[in-house]
Amino acid sequence: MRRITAIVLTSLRVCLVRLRNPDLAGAPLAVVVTRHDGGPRDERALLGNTRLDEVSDEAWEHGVRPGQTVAQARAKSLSLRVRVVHEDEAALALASLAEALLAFGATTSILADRDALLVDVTGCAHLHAADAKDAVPGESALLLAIEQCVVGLGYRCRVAIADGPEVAWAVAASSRQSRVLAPGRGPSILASLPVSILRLEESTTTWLQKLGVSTLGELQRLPRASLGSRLGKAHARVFALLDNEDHAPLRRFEPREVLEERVELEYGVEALEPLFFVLKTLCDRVSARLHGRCLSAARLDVELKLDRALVPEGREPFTVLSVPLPMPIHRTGELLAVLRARFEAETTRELFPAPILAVTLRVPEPVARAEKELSLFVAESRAERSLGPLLAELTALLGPGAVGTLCLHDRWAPEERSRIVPAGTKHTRRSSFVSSAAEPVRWLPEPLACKEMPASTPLVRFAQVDWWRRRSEAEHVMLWIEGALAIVELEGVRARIRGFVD
Amino acid sequence: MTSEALKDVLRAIGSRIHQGVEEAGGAPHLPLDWPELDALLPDGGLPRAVVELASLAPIPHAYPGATSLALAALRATHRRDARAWCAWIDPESTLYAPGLVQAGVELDRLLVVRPPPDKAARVAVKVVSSAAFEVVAIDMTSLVHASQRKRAWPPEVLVRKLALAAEQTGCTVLLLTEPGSTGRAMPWPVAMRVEIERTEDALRVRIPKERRGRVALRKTEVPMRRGEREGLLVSA
Repeated sequence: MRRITAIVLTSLRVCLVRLRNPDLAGAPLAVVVTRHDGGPRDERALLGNTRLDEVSDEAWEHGVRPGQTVAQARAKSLSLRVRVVHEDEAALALASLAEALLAFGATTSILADRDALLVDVTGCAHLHAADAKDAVPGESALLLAIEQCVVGLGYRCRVAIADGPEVAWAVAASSRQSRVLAPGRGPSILASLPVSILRLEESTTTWLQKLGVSTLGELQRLPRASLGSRLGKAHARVFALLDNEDHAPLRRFEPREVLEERVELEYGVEALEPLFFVLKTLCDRVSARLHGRCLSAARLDVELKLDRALVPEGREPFTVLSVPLPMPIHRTGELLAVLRARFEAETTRELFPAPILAVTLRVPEPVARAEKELSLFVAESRAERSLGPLLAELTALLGPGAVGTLCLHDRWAPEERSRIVPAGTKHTRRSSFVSSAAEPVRWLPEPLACKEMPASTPLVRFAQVDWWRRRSEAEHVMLWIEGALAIVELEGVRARIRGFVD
Repeated sequence: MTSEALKDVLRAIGSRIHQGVEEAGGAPHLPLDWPELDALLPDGGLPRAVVELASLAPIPHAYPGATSLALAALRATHRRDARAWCAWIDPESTLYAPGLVQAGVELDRLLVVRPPPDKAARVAVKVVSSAAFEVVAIDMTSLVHASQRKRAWPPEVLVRKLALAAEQTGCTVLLLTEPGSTGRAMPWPVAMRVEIERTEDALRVRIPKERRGRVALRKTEVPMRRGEREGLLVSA
């Protein structure tokens, strides 16, 4: 039994504008879509006779409608804001959502002409909490989870689960709220849907309405022979839907290798806090996509596009910050903590000497997430949960050479026998690297001068260490100084403390 | 499976099931597997809180005795749980791998962080708050000097933040101090202060402060632990 979820995004372009400028939330808003073959490039190119493509609910209440000119719309609503959105932005948003929705089903598909997405959730509902009222256990919870995922990313949607893609889409597009259709209930629900759902030519829809046919049930009763010629090329699709033949496979969406999310800002950002606000939005989207594809990020690249007019001479109008991650991470909070630590470690003036107009967050090296099977009888280790994000944050803040584990190095010179390596590096511990005499636990990077030659008897003496690689007259002795067992370097009359045994 | 059926299964399996992440901290105290020292400590081990290990030797960057005690805590933790991690905040970059290996510490499960002194305080709180470690040791000298130069939190503020983080995460935080780093305006809010002096084959230990008043004001000699350290310090 096949089950398909359709997600219809309402006011997609209005949501895109509000995501790039949260100040427009609640304001009456209209959008003009600019296409590759022409259209205003930005708001400054709008003319009074430019037609609107999409309007927000607030603008609708003021009487603004899609298809009106800007001048007509402004006459109805003085506070109307008009913004321009490129058609590619909607396509990228749909692709981004399709990736995120891979968390709910193995196959997703984009219906770009209808601002909708399809997810094949066959056999996936049981992974969600079952409700006694569900015909297929878990589908109500699955519906809610999908809706929350899409709304959490800043969009508005209606969701429907049905036996086929066209039925699911038709129900989602015509219903006021999200719903689950029990298996086999498609025909009875379809009968009540309006004919406008068929996406016919306007003249055909008008003709049907003049005939008094307003629902699919009424259309079903019309003679097929005469209806077919009137519907033209769409007749096969319409008849298949009326006959509940909705078995077309989904056109599978193939995500791109590199994950990238971008936000164009309406006003230049000059401080870190507003930048972190923008980065939070980008991290939410990237995290949802990584989660959908079961991937983690091994490196993050942040590209800041600067205002050309204010960039100092000799500087490029963009800055790229690369953040390698010692352990792959994928959650929003972890990604944001790493970026925050990295930005705070840099000098703002050098990082962005001019206001930022666009921010791009890229994951150039996604890696497969190693899922670990949990045990019912052994609790999960605290370090396994928390160490990865902490390492990423500390490395971003301090640099890779300042965080890690110590390892023994196959050298004779004392200062070369210990080094710090990234945590998780596999290295073989060889007991031959540790001598049978007492080893120091501390070695000073800068030796301490001894005020006077120590009087106590040396316990151990090392001389001519590594003589084949370096010429040195210094020798090391181990002796007690002021309550500590120290390694003292003697060179002629000079004595310096190099390390301590404890 | 319905929720009732699942409950029946869980009941039948009994107490072997753990839900979620292991409880923070595990045991309420950290025994050091050093019988003479454990006998001296109240509750037979270090508390899951902030403990100051004050080395009384005046020589800087050495922390003699305090380092031994901290290494004993790390060794005991690594032996008790094969998955447990510890951390050491080492702003002076003095920790040395051969000595740690000889002391029985698992280098693969000891995270060493070497922050610059002006960032060390924030890094220390972040590490303790992460709940990833059973024991966190911190070399305090350069942190105290940074705060004296007004480039970091005052030490008592740092210790209070560490105490709150340790209480939430169940971590044992060991602050290694030396005489030069303890010019303090007010006592640090630690759960325990242990003063240590090192001799050739023993530690002289005194506990002048314990949060419940179980102090040991007289210095007690604790012989150095035998075992991993095959060398001059382990005398027959």
